[in-house]
Amino acid sequence: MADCHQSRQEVEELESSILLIGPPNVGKSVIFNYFTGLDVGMANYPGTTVEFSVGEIDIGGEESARSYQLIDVPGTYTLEATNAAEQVAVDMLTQRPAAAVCVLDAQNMESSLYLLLQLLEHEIPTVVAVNRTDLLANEGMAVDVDYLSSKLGLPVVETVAVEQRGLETVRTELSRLVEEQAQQRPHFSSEKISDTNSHSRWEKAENLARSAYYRVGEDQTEAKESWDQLLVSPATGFPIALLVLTLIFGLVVGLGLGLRRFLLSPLFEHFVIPLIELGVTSIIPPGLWRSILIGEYGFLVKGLEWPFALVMPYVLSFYLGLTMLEDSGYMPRLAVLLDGILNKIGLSGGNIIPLLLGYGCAIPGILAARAMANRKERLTIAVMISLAVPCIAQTGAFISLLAEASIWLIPLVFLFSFAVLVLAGIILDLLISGDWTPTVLEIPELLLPRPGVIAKKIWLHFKHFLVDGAVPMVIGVGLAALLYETGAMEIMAYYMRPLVDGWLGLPEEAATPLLLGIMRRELTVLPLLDMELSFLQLFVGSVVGLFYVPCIAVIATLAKEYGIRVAAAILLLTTTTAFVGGGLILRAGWLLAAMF
Amino acid sequence: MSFRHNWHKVCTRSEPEVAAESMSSEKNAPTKSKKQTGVKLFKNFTSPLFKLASMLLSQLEYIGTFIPGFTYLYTNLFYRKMIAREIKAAGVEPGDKVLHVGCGSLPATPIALVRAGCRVIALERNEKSLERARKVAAWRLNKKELSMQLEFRHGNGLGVDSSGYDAVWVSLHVNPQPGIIQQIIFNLDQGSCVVYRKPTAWLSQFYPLVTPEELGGNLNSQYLTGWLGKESVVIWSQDFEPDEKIVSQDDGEEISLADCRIGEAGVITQIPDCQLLAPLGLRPGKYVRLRARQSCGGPLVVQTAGRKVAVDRDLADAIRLRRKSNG
Repeated sequence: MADCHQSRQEVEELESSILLIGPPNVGKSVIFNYFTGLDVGMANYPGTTVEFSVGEIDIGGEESARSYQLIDVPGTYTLEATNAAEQVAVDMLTQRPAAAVCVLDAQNMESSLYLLLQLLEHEIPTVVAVNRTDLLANEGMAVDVDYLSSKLGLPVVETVAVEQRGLETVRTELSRLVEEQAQQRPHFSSEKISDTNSHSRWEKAENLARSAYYRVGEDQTEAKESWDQLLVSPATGFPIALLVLTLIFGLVVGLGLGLRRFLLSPLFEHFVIPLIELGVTSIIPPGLWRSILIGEYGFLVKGLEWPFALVMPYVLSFYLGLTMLEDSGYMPRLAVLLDGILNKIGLSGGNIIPLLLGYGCAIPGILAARAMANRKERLTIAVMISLAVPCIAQTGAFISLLAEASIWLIPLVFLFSFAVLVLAGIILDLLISGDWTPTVLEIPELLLPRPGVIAKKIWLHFKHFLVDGAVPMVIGVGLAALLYETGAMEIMAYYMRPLVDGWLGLPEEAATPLLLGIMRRELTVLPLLDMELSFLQLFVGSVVGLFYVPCIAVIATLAKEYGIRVAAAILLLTTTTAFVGGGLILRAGWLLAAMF
Repeated sequence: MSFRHNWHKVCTRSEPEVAAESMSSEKNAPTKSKKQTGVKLFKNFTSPLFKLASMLLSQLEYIGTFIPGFTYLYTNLFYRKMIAREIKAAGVEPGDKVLHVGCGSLPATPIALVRAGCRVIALERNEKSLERARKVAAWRLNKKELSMQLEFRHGNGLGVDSSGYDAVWVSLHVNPQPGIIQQIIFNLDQGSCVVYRKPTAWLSQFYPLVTPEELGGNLNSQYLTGWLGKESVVIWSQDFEPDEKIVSQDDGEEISLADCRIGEAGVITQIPDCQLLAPLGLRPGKYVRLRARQSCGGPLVVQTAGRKVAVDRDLADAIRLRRKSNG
């Protein structure tokens, strides 16, 4: 809980802030992004927001416009805090914010109203937004907002956040509420809400919900329900899951490979790099500086080619695949299918979500683990991701490195990483003690991902990659160029020889990736590209790269989440596993070669 | 079958009781046409998946009859054991007169019944299938059996008179199965029985679910569990009165959620101490339906009023509910 208190201080004064509260997966983040113009993560599963985000919202009429802090609180079913993310929400309420927007789920009015009633007990002026009314309309139902408004004595607005419907009304109501409050008028006029026990609160919520619903047409969700049944029944669900994951994997690798081979590689090889080389040779005389810029580790050559031609295509294709999985609502279904199996290695089905995110980048994966109910699961996930889940940049590097030698090496490396993940799960299950939390997981409605949303999310991930991925990579390559051209690399390689050559059987130059790899995961792999390694060396190099130090940013995240000692322990664990594992594989390979 | 559609149907029925307990604060509720009322007990089953599934299956069987060895393999794989169990449970003896509704183009059931010594009338509404069924029967049975014990008739199950038979078999993909079964039971002679195949597990998505409880009265019935998503039900005739009220009667037995069959629904009477359950719609007095049971000790998938929830098996075991009939 240490991080909650820490982050609370970041919010300067809660008196001028407005909270955005509601059950998980109701669309709070969509509303938040609309009002603040920021881009916090959105997906179709509960627990997307694990940390609150703060942004500016302008409310009030034109003459009295004022900006408030809008806080996107992690989704919570009740204010009885059952996990770390929900605790954040509860903590914020006691800080007396200026107002709150309570977002209700039109399809689940009962439990949403329960949350609202609990919120009202804190006596915070509230605007109610009934969201996802479009999905309810598909069922042929509607919510009578006027009735709710008169019953609760609060402004109640019908919204469809993804289409930005009704959100301006929320803003207007919010302005009025804040103005009224300034004039010290009571914020809720009708009956005083004094229920304090959960039973009477539920009863009240049930009555309100029952009276507020009315039928407007035919239920159109029949066909969807039939398909959904196939997805969650194990007999059909497993084959479908295998098919879906294979398709997604095919999409990621195929699209990435295609983008690289037919678009980006030719572009860089025939156009960008010759142009840069021409430019540099004409300006800078031969010598150290020219070599640093366009030599072996040419800062302007490899520094551009690696991030943009080798890694970027996979970043784009991966996030296309992931976004479709996220927004369709398929991930929780996968979680439910795999729950039984994951239980055997001390995990629960819900853990599949952070793990899948980890295949994009370890940091969102580690942060998403916050939605898990207990520390044991969170820690296990963090260790597994740091140890053996390659991020997409590293995967792109693996594909570039291995596909040239043998297409079979890629699945081999991935199977090996799965095996280590399973083994790690079993060992961690024995090592880390903790309560077992029974699975209770909401399965959100299946939705067709919106092309606009997919495009936007890919764009966000791309921007993120440019800032947090490409820049460190370019700096890393620059550093390598400097070390290489000044001869410092040679000296280091000499001292690392016993490890690199003697134990791992890799050429001396392979000391470079080990040094660079501390900075970025894929830099443990990319420098191996031009070394002309043997089949066995490629495998050893990949395995070392896979387990080796997760990048600096990940270690920082781990330290923030779990403390410096845990981060140090994970660092030690991954590095040891990398070297011990790599060395053992080399010897196993020799043994096999000797036998056949 | 859409769960939610029927959900509203069931909810509507129970609404007055629930509402009566807590109407006091709701006097001012605006009067609107709330939810649908006046629901028939059985609806024709028109889900697109069902149509697709039965079309594909009948086509598969039809085409299969042209492939040497297919009939034999298909019968042995999917029907032999099931029919043997059914015959034993139904207690039919050589010489009994049996009706089979919906024999299709691959009449495995009539052939097995003939072999067991019964006199069988096989009914099929598709003439092309019927033609094919005659041919298949001619390969698999001898002349005496063909002429003395088996008769194919063209006709629809809905209009059939089930009196005068010792037993009636109803195939899984007759449509509407609930209506046909109800009618057959209604006309059945004293001491006779009807055997029908009920979908379980994943198959329940394609086919309607008919349970003896739903058909009304206190029917004497027996379940025979099969594999591949089928289950046979034998119902013996006795004082049968179609009773629609049965759906809303609260005299079901209390069982644990973990012991429910797939597709079964009930009203929760007791939940274990777990804070997450209540907000997800798992509270005493709430309707839930079991949608799927995961393998390897995984969770159960439960449908509550507005959402689907996966619940750990041990937790589900501690959730008690009063069984309601399927719909």
